[in-house]
Amino acid sequence: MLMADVQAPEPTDEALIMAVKNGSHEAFEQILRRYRDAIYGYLKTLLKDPARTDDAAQDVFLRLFRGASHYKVVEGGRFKSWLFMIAVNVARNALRSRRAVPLDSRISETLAASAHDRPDADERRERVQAALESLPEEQRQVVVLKEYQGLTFEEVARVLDIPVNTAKSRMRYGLLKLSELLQGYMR
Amino acid sequence: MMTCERASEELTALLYNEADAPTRAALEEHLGRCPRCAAELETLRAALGVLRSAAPPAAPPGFSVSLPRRRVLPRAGSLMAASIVAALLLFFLSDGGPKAYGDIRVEKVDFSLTVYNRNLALVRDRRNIFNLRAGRNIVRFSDVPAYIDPTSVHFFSLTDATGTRVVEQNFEFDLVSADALLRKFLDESIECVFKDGSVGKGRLLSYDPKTLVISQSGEALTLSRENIQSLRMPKLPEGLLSRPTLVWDLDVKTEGKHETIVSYLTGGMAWKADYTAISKKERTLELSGWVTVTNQSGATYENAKVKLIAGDVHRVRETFKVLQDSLPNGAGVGQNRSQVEEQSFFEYHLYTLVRTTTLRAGSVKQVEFVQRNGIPARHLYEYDCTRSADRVAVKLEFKNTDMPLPMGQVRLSAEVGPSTEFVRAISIEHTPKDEKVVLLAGYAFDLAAERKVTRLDRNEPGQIRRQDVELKLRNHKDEDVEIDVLEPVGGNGTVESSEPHEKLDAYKIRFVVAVPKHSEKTLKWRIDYE
Repeated sequence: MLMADVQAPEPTDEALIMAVKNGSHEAFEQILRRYRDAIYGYLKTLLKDPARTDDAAQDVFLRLFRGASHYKVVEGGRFKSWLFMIAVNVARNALRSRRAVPLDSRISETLAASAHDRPDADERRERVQAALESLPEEQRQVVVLKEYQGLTFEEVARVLDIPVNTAKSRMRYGLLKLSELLQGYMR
Repeated sequence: MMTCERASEELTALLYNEADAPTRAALEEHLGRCPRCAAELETLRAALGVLRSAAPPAAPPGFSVSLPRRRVLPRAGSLMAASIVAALLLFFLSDGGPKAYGDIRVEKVDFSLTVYNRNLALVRDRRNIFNLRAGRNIVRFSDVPAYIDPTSVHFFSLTDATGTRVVEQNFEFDLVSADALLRKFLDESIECVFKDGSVGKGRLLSYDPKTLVISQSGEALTLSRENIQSLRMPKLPEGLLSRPTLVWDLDVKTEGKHETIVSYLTGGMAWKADYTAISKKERTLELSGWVTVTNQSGATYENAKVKLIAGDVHRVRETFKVLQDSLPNGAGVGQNRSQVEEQSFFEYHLYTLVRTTTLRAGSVKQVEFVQRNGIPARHLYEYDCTRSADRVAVKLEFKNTDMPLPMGQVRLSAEVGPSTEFVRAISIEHTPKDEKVVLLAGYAFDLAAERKVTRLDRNEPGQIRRQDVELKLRNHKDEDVEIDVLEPVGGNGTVESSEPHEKLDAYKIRFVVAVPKHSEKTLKWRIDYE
């Protein structure tokens, strides 16, 4: 009737944050390993500069650790949304404190002109990143959270505190703009 | 009918498969008529393709976060009054032996657990506490889960409910590990034994997974942890435990033994249902179902009564048997041996395992809860061009006659000669008693379909006015079959067809087509849009 016990899968995010809430550094390390690439990638896309990205990523995880005691575990789990809410706030603060740099309108022209060649993967990534950076922040946030971080539209809406339909339409406008900027890469 | 404006709002949801069924149907219908929106969908899809080929960079290899040195304790302030900290430290230094605290002893009796679908359990932990004195007592309640929510702990003495109360509670979680030891020795002197046998001494300034920073003779040195064989600490640090423990300051009026019940919420517990179904040649089904309970909470629950809660809304009240306890190997559990109730509980289902079980820390326990043979199963054939343009799907349909089935995954196999072969895994929803269960088994090998749009008249600017469709269905089987043909139709379309059809809803019609063995049947229809 009872089968042999087998090895348990990795603890869930909710289980880990519960342990962090209880002061466990080990659980925190596990969360860090699990999400550091996602958070770093998200912030890098928004902040561009590696040093600023590094600082901001540190800030996100420190806030997570300090704020863990306020986290309420709910069935179904909302940890990922909560983590990205922290990341969005940190990114906004960092962007606000950055000296205003006018968007380089030449980015678009350069992208359109050179994309007819067959670029290698790194160059392609750089150009896609540059195109993303040229999007208005509100669209960029949605595109990055949705596409690169795999959040659902509902989660994106919750993280950014906007209606779900607004998230969908920002995604649409963002993608349409990207398709103009990256024409040479489109099949 | 969906407008272009509304369609464009939902295109991204369609791309990510997040549109609900009615929206999806309306969108598909709209896209069939509107080339402009169809072209936009393709543009969005292409843009996504480019984005996906250039994912953002990962964190650099050395990326880590240094946490503040001060350990963050739960419920700081209210629970960590200075006097209690002092008392606890004294307690740990003295190794918690009976000398310091009399003969206070805690003995486990049993557990009852209510496990929710995902990552949450309510534990009712019954223990006897021996040799309590009148007045204040420090009691260590160990072996609690690492993922306990200390704020949810409720203590109740059955022996003297009114005369016993928890004055202070502290949850001690700082378990012994290499990093925990290093944390305890920040700013303290330690000794490093290197792999080449040499020994160095210094004050530990900081550490991360790769390096230690040591102060030696006024200089700061970074040491790679790879080169270090071992570290020596001058003394055993206080405050490190081998098991997560609740420590209480209890105020007691009745001396001696207390029977207590402690309840708390913990993370790290989950359950799900899995099924295996074998489709037999004689068109019957053999179904077995298993409940899988995962315990990652960090504690072991011996002799636990386990209840499982499935979240769902508007469920009817039913009686349901989950587990037989007396049959060997779980075989032959029959519906007439039911002895456990399934209850509706607010808007949840509560399933109870009949017998007590032991859930060990870090384990996955599987318990069989249903085993039925000879369930009559119908093979249904269905052609739906939105699923596949040239293949006919096979579905297995059976009636769930005697118990509600919790949501889960069915692994379907089929009898092939003397052996059984895996077909596919299918998800089923919570299915009440007496409802039909339909499993999409795959596509029929011996049935083929060929669908052609033979005429398409458009209005400006590109909306479809009239559509003629021809569908050929070929049956290469040695038996006659009946195929359900589902066809999407716009909400305002009128249909004329060579065979009778019925309208299933605003967007779909159905034909039931009999195709004799080794023959072909042609079906034609015309859709006119207003």
